[in-house]
Amino acid sequence: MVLEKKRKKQCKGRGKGEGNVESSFSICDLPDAILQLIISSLPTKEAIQTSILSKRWEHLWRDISNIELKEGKPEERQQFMHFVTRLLVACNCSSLVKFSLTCNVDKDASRVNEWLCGFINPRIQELCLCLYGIEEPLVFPDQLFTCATLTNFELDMQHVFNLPSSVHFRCLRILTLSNIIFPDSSSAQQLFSGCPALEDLYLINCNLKNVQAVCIYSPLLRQIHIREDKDGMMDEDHDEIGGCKVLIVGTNLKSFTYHGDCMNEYFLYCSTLVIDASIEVLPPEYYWVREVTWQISSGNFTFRLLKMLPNVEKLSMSETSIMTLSRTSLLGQLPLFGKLAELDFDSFSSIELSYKALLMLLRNSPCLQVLRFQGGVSQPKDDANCIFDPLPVCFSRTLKMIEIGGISEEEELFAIKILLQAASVLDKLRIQCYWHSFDRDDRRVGLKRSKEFCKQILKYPKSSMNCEIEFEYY
Amino acid sequence: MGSPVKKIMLCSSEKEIFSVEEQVMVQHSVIINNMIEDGSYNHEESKIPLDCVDSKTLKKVIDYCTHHTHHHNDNQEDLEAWDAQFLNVDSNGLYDLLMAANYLEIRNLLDLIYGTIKNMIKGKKIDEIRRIFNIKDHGFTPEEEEQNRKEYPHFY
Repeated sequence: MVLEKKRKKQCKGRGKGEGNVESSFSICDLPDAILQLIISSLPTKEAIQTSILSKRWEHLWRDISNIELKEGKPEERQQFMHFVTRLLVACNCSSLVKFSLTCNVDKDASRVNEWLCGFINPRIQELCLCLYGIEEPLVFPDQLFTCATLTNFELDMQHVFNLPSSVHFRCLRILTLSNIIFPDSSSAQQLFSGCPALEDLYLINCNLKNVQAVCIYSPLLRQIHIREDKDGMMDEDHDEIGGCKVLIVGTNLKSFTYHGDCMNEYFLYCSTLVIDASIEVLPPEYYWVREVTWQISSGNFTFRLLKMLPNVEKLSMSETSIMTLSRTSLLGQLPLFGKLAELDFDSFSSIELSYKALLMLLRNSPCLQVLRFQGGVSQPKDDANCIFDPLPVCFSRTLKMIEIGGISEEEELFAIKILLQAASVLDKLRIQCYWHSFDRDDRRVGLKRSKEFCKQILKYPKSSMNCEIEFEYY
Repeated sequence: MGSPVKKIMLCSSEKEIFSVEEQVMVQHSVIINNMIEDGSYNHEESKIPLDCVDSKTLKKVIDYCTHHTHHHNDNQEDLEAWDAQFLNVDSNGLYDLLMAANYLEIRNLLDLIYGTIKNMIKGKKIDEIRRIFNIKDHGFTPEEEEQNRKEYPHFY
């Protein structure tokens, strides 16, 4: 309404001056509401600076809808604290829609509590808090936990997250929790039960040691991303962190990502809609990879996850996931992935083609179309016969594309030779070559050697006559 | 094939009539979408009067909506290049477009213009912004200006 009036006034004003060539429009003629929108899209410091452009701009910034505060260098801490405290007084916090604060709390918990209480208004929509160095519990305003407008909440805080007795985020769609420690089962449950509109959930290194079991249920939940890693949690009692049972009821869940060291157990119910999944198991510390008990338990973990994802269309697995999965005695019970079209092996180094689990996955994916080895693929012996026997169905029916993201060793040539012989309906084999894997120092020499290497591949017999082989040199 | 493309009539401040595909305007303008939906637009007789929008601006707005309707599948780069070319107008033109987009509630065009204005401010020194925005008289007393200079030395 306010806009309407101003617009009319301006139209008239401009009409009169139209004969005048000098009558050039100034941004300053725009209505306040529009200027405030533009100011709100600037970084907060620059938004405040607009106050000294002219008298017209002096108070405009006070009603900005977006504030982003990030502490800089440690020696500028005092300035930052002072700046935020003044800002809290000067700006009209009730117009804030989006608030973001990244800082160290250290000894200033009471000051940070004041900021949280001041900036977080009951109509906030997006809230991002990354608070480090917490020595005593922070106090979030109670109204935050029943905020009916909040749609996006991100909290990164290495501390116990105390929740009030009533939690209800009516519109919360995206929740990202990093490093927080849940005080007990009931508060974890209260939080996840209080988000009926949740669509995307990110749990990054959240500590569930005080939680025995929790159920994550939201009818709209589309995406879950879990990352957990004991070493990243900075908790003294490493051995006591894990063991929580996390039940995920995702009647609408489309995407599931797990990246961690299998410390908690995850159960997916009604997960038949999941079409996109990524599983990477991490060893808690690198040398543990060789430990057989760890391999078997991680293999069982990966197996259980896969078993809950029978309709996956796109699957990404890390090298450790496939290696440990090869160790489990349950491998024979791997389900059939009748819809799996894209299988991606995400690794830094090349993956052995003869991993039992890899072969089993290929055999159980009769409709596979794209097979990708991001870190390359290798085979110790130049012997095709013993590997694909029997030949996975997808190789003779559906597999159209193989991508190999790196090559430098003879063993990788063996693997490529085998794949070319086995895939009889392949349209394209794409291979990426990096010069530095042939010669670390000299780009020219590396490139030349990689090209010679690739020439050999062109000579290999192909069971798919029309298969095109494409090299990308980097 | 079948039925011919439905058209609507828009009338500029100079009373010039523009005939546009209904779908093009409905997709982009909240106001026109509402008018069509609630039946307040009669296809036989009515034209939509846009008293605040002159013919030159209205033509541009229609160009924008038409392009974004028919090319929304183009790759992002091409669309951005087209948008940049589209907004290559003088400040009067930009102002008129903004007011028209605001009146018709064309969200993506508004965002585009806001972004352009934002970039006129971002990372710039105070004198440069004052020049771009044609601020000749800032209205601060010398004392206030001195105080501002002290407070925001980086901005000068």
